[in-house]
Amino acid sequence: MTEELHEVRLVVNGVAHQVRVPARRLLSDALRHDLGLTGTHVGCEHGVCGACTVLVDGRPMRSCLMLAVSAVDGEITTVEGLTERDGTAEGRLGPVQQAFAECHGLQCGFCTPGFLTTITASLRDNPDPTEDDARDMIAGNLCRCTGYANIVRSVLRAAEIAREQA
Amino acid sequence: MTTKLFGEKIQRVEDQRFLRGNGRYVDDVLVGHDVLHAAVLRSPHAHARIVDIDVSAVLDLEGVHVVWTHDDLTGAMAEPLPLLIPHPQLTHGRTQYALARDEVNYVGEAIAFVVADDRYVAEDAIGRIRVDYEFLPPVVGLEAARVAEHLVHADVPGNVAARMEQENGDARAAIASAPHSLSLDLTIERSASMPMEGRGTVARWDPDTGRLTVWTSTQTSTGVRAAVAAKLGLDLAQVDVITPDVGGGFGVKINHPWPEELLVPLAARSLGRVVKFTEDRREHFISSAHERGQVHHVEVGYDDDGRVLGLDVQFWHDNGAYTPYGLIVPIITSTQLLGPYKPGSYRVVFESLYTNTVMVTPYRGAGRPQGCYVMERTMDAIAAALGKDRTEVRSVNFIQPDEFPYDQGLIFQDGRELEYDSGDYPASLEKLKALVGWDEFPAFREEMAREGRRVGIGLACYVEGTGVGPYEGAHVHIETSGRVKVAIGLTTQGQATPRPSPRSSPTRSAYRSRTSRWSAATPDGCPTPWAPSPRGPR
Repeated sequence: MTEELHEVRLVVNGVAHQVRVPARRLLSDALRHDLGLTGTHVGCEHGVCGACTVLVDGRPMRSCLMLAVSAVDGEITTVEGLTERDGTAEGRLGPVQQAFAECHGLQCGFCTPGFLTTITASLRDNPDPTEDDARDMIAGNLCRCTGYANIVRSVLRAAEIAREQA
Repeated sequence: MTTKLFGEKIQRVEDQRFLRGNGRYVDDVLVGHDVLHAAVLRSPHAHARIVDIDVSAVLDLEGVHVVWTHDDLTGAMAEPLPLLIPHPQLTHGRTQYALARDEVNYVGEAIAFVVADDRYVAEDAIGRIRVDYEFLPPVVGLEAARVAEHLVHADVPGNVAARMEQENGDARAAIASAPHSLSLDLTIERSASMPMEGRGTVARWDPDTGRLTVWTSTQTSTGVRAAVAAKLGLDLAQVDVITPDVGGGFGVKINHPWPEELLVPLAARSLGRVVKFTEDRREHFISSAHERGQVHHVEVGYDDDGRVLGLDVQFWHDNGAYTPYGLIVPIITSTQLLGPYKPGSYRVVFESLYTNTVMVTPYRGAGRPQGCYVMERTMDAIAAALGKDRTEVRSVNFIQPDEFPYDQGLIFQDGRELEYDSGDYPASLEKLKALVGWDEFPAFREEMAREGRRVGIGLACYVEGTGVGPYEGAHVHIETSGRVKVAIGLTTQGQATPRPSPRSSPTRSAYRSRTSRWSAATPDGCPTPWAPSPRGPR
């Protein structure tokens, strides 16, 4: 039994990649194992925990519920693509990343990439969230360490940083 | 040690990696290299005899490299997994095999192990293995275990793994002669650790140097190292166990070795290839560990002030199908139950019982929450019976500040006397009452009632035995450049351990804490062979 492979072009963080994958290969697996972008984490493989969230054309998507072959037409952003260019090799932290660092919004770090991508997209839609809005933004992501209080604080701080930078 | 740096806000060094997507968790190890992937066939039945396993449909499947059942294991690998913490009262301790031999005793128990080109193909192969089961009646829940109409293990009478009793004074006589007495039945259901990252193990065998490198998502790298060496017949020095970033532990990663922590290294050595196992969430739900499940019966005798004269607690602990972690959880419940109080006399008896469910691993508190719940419910019940304020009843039972060190007259989980070193419980309670507005609460409740809101208030007092060990392995290495490297074997799951030395050192500029990974024996010559693992308060 040899699986048929499909030639797929994935545009991730502005870079085009060519991969050959079976039709059943999840986008999360393609990002992690075929492209080596291991920042996207897989926590539940059934769309509940949100750790694998990436942005497809700016919209948050569960990469564990999406096939790689169905992502060919989209511009994908992973956590690795959230840093901003500042002339250094590693770039500077984006507003959401910076806010998490300042507000201790993470502990073990496993759920963090999904929060960062989700919040980045949500703040684009709502740049001035209330605390209730912040809680709503992260309602689809699970964190086991923090109890969410510092993540909510991070959302509000991220909005502040974005405004300061604007 | 200076206290100068305590309380300072310090940026965690690992956050930069985590926030940029550069964390290195176990499934990230050797991505981009030639890696084979493992999957495990798990029992869909809680209790069954394995009559036959047919793997013939898998053998010729393209991309499959290994299909193992118990029949394929030899030597120490074919023997039961270790019982990590034996105890004289654990008269009927049982542990599972890396792959089930004749019988499965919980849903999720590992039966067959497949290594293939990728996880998809490995799961295809798992789906083609046929197992012929003879069903046995499952024992689920403490009631069924106690009735013991059916047995989990045919050679364990009454499903009783252990019975343990401790007594300080004559509690039953004190209750019988006390002015008042009460009895309570208190039940706690099971819970699970559920870290965001499941379990996972990667192994690479180097035939040229005869060394095995194992990456595993564990809370106890040195223990895994010892187990792998013993089971694979290697010298300890041939095995490196590296704990990469760990996406949460909460106790489930203290237990070791999990079957895959042995099977993956064995496959890596057999095949001469890198092998990886990454548990998925479904597997974690059905086959990892639980805790908490206990039923308690309390008899208490007390005087008019609510002072406890005699406390007699019996409880039953659901240890699941096996007892790899011994009696740690119920022993902690039985001893830490007393908290800050000094009953006139205390007797505790527990039975640790087998059920056809996943085993117990010490989970967030490891038996302490159960003990605290039992004691605090008892205090509330006494207060309610006497019509007294709940804090008053607690106060009259406190160990007083001038009574330390205070010996509770019991033996703790570590085999030593349960002696409290210091404390000022009355002052703590007064502080708490002021902070929450305890004395003003009745007025607040009335005020809320007028607005149609019903509000309540509760409190619990708690003392925790901490600092397991207390020991820690460390390796200090001075480079020729003059740079000092300090390595410890303590792993981290988000506690920011990679920077403990600079934080507590008076000369932090002299130290460069290693930040990339923490291991039992690191590949760059910084062996830290002993570490008691991060758990509870450590």
